[in-house]
Amino acid sequence: MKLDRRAFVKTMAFGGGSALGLMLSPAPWYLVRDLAFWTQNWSWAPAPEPGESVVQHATCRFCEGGCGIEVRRVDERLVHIDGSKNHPVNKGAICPLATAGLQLLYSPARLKEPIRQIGSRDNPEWEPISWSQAMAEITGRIRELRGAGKSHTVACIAGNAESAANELFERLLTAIGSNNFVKTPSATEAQNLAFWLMQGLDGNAAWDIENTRYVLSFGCDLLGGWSAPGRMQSAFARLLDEPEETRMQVVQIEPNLSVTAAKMSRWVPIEPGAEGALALAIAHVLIRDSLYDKAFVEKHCFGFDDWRDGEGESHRGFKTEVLAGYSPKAAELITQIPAREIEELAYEFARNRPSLAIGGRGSGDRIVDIYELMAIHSLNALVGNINQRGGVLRQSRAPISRLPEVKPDKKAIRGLSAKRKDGSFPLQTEYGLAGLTTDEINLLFLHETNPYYMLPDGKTADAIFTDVPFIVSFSSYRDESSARADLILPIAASFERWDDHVGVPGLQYPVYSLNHPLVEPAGQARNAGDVVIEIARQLGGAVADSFPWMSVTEVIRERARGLYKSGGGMICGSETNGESGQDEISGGFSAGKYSTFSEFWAGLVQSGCWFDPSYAYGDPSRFLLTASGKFEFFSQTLRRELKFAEDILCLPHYNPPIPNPEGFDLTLMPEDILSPANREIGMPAMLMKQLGNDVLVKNDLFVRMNIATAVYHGLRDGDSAILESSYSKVKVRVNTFAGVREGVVLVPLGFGHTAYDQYLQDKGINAYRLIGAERDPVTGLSTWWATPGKISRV
Amino acid sequence: MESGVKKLKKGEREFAITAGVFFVGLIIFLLAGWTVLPRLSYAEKVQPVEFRHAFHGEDVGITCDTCHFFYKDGSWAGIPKMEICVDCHVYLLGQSPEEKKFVHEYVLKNRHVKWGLYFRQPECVSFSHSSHVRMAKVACETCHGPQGLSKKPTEYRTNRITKYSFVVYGAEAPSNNYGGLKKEKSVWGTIRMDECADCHRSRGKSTACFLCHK
Ligand code: SF4
Repeated sequence: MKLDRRAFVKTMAFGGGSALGLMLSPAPWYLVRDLAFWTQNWSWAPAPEPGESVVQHATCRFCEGGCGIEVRRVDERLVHIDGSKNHPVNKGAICPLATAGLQLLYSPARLKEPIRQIGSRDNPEWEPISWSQAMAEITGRIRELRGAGKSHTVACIAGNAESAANELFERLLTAIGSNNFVKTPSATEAQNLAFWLMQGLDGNAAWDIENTRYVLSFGCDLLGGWSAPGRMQSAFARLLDEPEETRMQVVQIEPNLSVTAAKMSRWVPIEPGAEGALALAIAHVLIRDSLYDKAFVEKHCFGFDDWRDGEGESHRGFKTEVLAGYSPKAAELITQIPAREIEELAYEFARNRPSLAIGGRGSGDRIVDIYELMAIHSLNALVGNINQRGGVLRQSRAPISRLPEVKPDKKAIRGLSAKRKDGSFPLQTEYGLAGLTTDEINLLFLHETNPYYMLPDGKTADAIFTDVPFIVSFSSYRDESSARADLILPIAASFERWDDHVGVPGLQYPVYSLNHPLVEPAGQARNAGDVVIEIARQLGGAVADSFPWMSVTEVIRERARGLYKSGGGMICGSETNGESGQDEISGGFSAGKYSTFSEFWAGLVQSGCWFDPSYAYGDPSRFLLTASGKFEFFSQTLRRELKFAEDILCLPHYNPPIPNPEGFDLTLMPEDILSPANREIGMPAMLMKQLGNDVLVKNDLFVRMNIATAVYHGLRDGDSAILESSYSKVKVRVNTFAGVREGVVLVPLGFGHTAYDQYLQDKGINAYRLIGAERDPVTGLSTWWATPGKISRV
Repeated sequence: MESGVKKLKKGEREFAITAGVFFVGLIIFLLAGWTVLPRLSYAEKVQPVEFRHAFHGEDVGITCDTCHFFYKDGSWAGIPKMEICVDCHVYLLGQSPEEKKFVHEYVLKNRHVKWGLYFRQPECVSFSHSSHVRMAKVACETCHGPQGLSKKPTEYRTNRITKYSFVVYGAEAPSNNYGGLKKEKSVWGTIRMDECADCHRSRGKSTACFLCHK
């Protein structure tokens, strides 16, 4: 049809009329409105399905901090984690890791079925196998080794939880004839060792943070993960409610302005590694000006003054040592803290009692050497705070029942007589991974641990995965160590399993946490404890006899029976009131009120926590169990065990650092971004996305340094640089920050994963491998806190 | 001269026709915009089972919170789950064919009824029944209308684009109702943000964004 001018005009008129008509009706306006609403209801936008919502109590198991949590479940899916307000440990506080923790549960890195390595460790290829095949493989290998008299070449490295599952692993090893059950290093090891050397206590030290008035923190990351992070957070959060005059004072002694340093009452910047010297200088002032607790020192301390041994030989005392070598003026040169300020700290520490000195950089395990912790602990003795309110306490153990003794058969007895493979030093209270003789291990179990990623002692980490011919990883995730194993068994993650845990680091009173499954395990994942029981049962004979249980739940029930029998303590309940300090927690349901164990158990399962808040402050002699029965400034244990002839080696003292090797002009120090996420478990995706662009941009990790350090090395903010230590060489980017000491470079921990999911993989570099660890010659502990380094522009 | 007039008349006629066409278009679309289009943008739906609130409430005498209750943690149960219905309807209680359908088709076959919802809020809104009902003491009817008194099986309309729905009680909904832009007394449905805000303002409550959009 030909459109002439008239027809065109008419069509236009009709169109115009229609448009006007439409515009005068509500239709187009509603269409716009509806389109806007439509954008809010996209069916493909991810949102939880509506359903019945239930809140259940559990204990967070992402780290050993023991926080009570409330988990909201909508139908079959967990949707939210919150702190549990009535919980005695964290009183409602939780860390970001737990807040985002459900992303780990539903992470793409979760393992859903057992898989076997059919390639090589360098070039891995995996094939799925069934559980029964996997079990047959494991039991076959154990039988073979036992048959060949090599049961002692089976080993297990486990995460450091004090759980029923770990106990079962240790038990399995004992039953088949191996004493090579090793836990990954924990932050409390060094602390406990200092505690043992000076107080003779084989147990966990505890700090009465809630009741103290003045804290000298020698680099402890109090807000970022030192001791039990949830407890610390809630303790410090409550501080802010108190009037400033009576508020606890915390002095943060740390080379760099960390988050903790910025938030505490005072920041004392110190030369890296000089904390021991400062502690001794403070001791000098306390002694020189008679500010110390004379009654306590006279009655309960050994080695304060010079002394004579049984053979009449005279020995140097702490007082002589400290007065001679650590005057504030002398310490000023070492610590770079003005002598006047040192005097001031000493006076404040003495006058604001109860006062407390704590050590261990970062999450507590970063020390120069054991003498540093001894020097710091000496201050506690000088103010006489041992077992006093607001002082240094000892953790009481939860009275769980012991499982019946293992009855090893002949093969096992032979295996158990072999020397341990982890070359422990006589002083170590717990055996460490450092010095593991990997070439003699034929079968290794990894249980919820990721040594390849998180051992600062890179040599041992590498050796494990090159020397050991067969490694079985029990893991919920595809982590770095599993990726190098030969068989990976998917285990139920927390919230999917029965699980328990004894104690909370640094907390004086006993806590027992119990978790029950809130949702079904992912895929074919199983409880590791159940798998161990099944392995033992399949092995048969005496091994099976040592495992008279059908499931780990029975084992946990048996352990919990001891709590009921003790008749003490209470089950955390809606009335538990943790408001007024740890020792005044009341409410809850007293364990004595349950007339049968079943009732007690039902209450425990529901609440997830048993604890006993009573603590007997007072008489320090209960906790002075050294040979002299006193607090030993001069450690006779060191003298006896290590045959030290020189007095100085038994006394707290300061060892100047070894000068940097030629060409290494920087000090590289690790920095915690979120310490509970530094270790076995990677950061959840949500937290990775929240990192500022001065921490991580795409795959580039930023290290922090002072602007002067940067300028001196020809670097500017944002530049790419090569950072090198004697352990490795990596590419990073530069972020300048005036709060970092000149000559120091801070390298964030928790990055550089090569496994897990796309959110974690290849993001930045692994600071553990860059900083590296050395062994403390005295204790055998792996020490790592800084390393010499150099940086150059790309 | 004549032809001149004629010419002029022809022009006028053309103009008149054009204007006529213009007005025809205007009237057709004006009417359509007020009558047909609103109907087209909504789908009429009926509930899978003819449930009568008034019967359960007034005749049987059960209270609202038997089925619509708060969980212990304060979250709102909303539409009752099958288990709640089954508490009573394990077997036939009366003669109604709808109950028969319910028991035979759903209860005995262990199927869930997919009830149509007219009050769902989008995911970007965090709405708490607890803070409105328990704390602010807002009556259910304020937002849901005489839902509990409905004698008729409730038909409802769902916007084909937004999926927002409304329900009509009593008189037939006016054909020009677009989902209750100005809600009549008989029309109730998803509460829109302007309605939330109006109510908050009239009660002197904050209308800060983060109150609802967390
Ligand atoms: S500090 Fe540890 S236990 Fe507490 S919430 Fe965080 S990860 Fe969980």
